[in-house]
Amino acid sequence: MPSMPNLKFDSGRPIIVVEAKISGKNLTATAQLVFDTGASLVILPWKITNALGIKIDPNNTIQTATASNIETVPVVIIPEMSVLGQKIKNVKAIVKDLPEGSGVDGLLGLSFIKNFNVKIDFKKGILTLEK
Amino acid sequence: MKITELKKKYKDEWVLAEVVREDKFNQVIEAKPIAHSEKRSEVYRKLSEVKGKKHVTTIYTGKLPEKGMVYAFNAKSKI
Repeated sequence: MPSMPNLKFDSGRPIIVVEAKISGKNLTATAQLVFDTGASLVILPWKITNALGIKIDPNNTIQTATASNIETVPVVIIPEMSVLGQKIKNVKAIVKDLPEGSGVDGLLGLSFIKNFNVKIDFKKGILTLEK
Repeated sequence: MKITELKKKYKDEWVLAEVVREDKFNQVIEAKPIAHSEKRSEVYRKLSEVKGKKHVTTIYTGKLPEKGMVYAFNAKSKI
């Protein structure tokens, strides 16, 4: 029986970071994203989105409100992305840079996660994605 | 270079590297460093210069989160 796609993570850390493989027109990029069920959408930084050649429509934006300000950010469609070998096409994302000190590229939000049965075993430190 | 070696060599830095080998779950196992810097913005700038059909990765090799910091990514969006 093939093994279920899973990630061994350090449950002592306050976040779970996953590697997301994102395919662009020419370039493919594996980015470090925080597994975040509290985020509605995937969040990608500007430079990676541009490098991948993902189309940004200036008329397709949303407002994000944080503790300090409100900003308008683009909504894009990622043609194809995989996490733990699980591939999803046409994933909705917003383009926004997380703070430099975050140590990650972006967030893996529900627009990707909702496609799976997710199991997070904090005792063993194992994240499993099942279609 | 194996990712474990890369993390030791460029400790507490951002690294841009070309992916050489990954496992069946797309976890990068080996990569060839292209650029490294303490600043993420510098590594992103180098990413903009990558040409051709390549598979690259960005990695932060430091501890997450930094000492004394916590994560609070919450933001609400109006669609």
